[in-house]
Amino acid sequence: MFDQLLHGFSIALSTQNILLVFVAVFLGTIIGMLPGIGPINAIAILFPIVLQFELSAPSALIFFAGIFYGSQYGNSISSILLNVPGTSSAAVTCIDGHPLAKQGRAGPALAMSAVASFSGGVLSIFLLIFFAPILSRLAIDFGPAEYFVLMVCAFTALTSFSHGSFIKALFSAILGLAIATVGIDELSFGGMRRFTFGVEELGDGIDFIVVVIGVFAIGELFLYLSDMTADSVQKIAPLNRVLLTFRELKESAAGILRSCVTGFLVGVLPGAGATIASFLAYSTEKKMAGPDSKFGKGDLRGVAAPESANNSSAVGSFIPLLVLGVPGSETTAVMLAALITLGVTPGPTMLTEQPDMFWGVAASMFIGNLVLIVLNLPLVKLLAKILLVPRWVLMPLIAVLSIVGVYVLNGSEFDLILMLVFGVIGFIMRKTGFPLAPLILGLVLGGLIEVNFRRALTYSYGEYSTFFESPISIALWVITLLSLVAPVFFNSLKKGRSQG
Amino acid sequence: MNLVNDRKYALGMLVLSVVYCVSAWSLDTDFDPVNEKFYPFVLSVLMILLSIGLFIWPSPQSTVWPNWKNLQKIGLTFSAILVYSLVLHKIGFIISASLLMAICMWVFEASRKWILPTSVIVAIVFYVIFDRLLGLNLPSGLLSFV
Repeated sequence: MFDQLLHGFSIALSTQNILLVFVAVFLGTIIGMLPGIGPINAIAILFPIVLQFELSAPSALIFFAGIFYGSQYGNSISSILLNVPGTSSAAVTCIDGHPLAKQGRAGPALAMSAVASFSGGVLSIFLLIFFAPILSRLAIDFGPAEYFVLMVCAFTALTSFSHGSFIKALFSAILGLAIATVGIDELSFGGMRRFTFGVEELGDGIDFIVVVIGVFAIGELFLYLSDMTADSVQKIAPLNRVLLTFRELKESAAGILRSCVTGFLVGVLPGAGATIASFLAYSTEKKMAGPDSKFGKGDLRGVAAPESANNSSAVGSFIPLLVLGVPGSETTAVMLAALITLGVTPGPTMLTEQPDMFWGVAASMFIGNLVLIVLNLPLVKLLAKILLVPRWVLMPLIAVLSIVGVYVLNGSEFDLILMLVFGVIGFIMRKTGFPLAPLILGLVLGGLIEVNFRRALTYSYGEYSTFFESPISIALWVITLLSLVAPVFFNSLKKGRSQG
Repeated sequence: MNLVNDRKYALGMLVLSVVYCVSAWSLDTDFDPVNEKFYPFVLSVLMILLSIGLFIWPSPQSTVWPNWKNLQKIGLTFSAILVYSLVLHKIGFIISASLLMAICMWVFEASRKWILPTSVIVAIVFYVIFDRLLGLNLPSGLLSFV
């Protein structure tokens, strides 16, 4: 393992990749900080540029990963200073972070957030390089049938762990799968056109970038407009010295460790992700602190826990992506789609067949976190100035960036109109309570699911028993069933507790 | 608690699912699991079942739709992007992006004096970064002499 990590560093330390990590974590911090642009938008908009530079798959992933975990550092800056989370995973950080800023302690809060993010981030990389190879040994005997069952399993887990109605989440996922069937079918002889409704441009299928930018960036724009009120002027809390005392560090250390482990485990689970991780870590620490603590009124431990958890969960979410080839969140789904475009065949053999990618990314994460702690401790005062950019510049800028990103992909006006259509779909889905993550996952995995389903049935001459034959498939079906039952069980447990 | 909302959405889902189902069924090939017809058909059946499921078991949730003023703003932004998409090739990136930026800024209630300079500068800066520095082709349109 040590040799492989060294090999990873030899990749991550190439001039190009060091530069990429620098740019990525810097962009990530800013993107995380500004409410309205999540890492998923950033990755989708920057993808055409990555294509233009002809980056190798490991370099592209190093770049995207940097944006993702970098955004988990920056998102607390606006939580603390503005009481507006930069991304949803920093929503909990507002609870204690903003009261601290109001008490004139924005400096210590930001310092704690940076230290907790760094500790959570770095510790979870150790967990990643320890557990990934162990898990990948289980994944060698995967054929089309097992891979199909694995994806079904990921979907069920994602939909049952996602917030809100299970039926809506599942519908959203299958809608994603259905969108993926639009275009020329590559498996059939001669390539049959499906669901193009006579539109010539739909023959090549619907590009995931168009959907992601439409649903997220444009949808977000409409959503912001729909809730816009006259008094949306924001006040930034004053920022003093960004320092922590030794005592404050000592008090939070245990919580940071616990939250890191929680965050990592939640990150590995499909569907859960950084937002749930930070909520879980915060409520655990609040309970452990007891009723006499200042939690909720400005406790540094309440900043440390969610920040450690959301960073480690971002790292943990690379386990399903890199070990099994099945992403568990919308951001890693977009990364997978990008890798597929760059010619990587995803699947459970990715780690063994493409060790450069896993070890290169893991090593680059160490470098990225070092850069991030420098950006977020001594330079945070400078960075916080970016929050002064008013909304009336920021939101239009996102609109123009989105249309440039979509246009340069294929140079097609049709893609822009399609993006707009998906913007409306994304807006309506958010308003009516359909989660977007299953839709993106369905769209990205749709092609693979269909190919593996049909291939498995071709190998077995149409016998469905092929999906239940191997022990791996059976184990995966059991996990699928458990993940279906688990939320029902937890809900009744919760109800019982609140009644009792 | 408003249970009617989800029922309306369920009907919308059903219409979408049936359209998908019919177009899957009308694909001109054998109904064989390994063919390109079977898989989308299965998806559409699942979608129909889920629509019916949501109609029977709606979840309690209320939707707050935008008020008239904000709806107009959304409509204006939508139209601005649509017009941009249609005229981009003819009049070029710099002019159409300035216009889009200006309309968006107006919608987001920027103060008047900032709108014109900001939108022109943004369009030019984007053109220089993407077209000239990164080599991604943006249409120059009417300004192709530059």
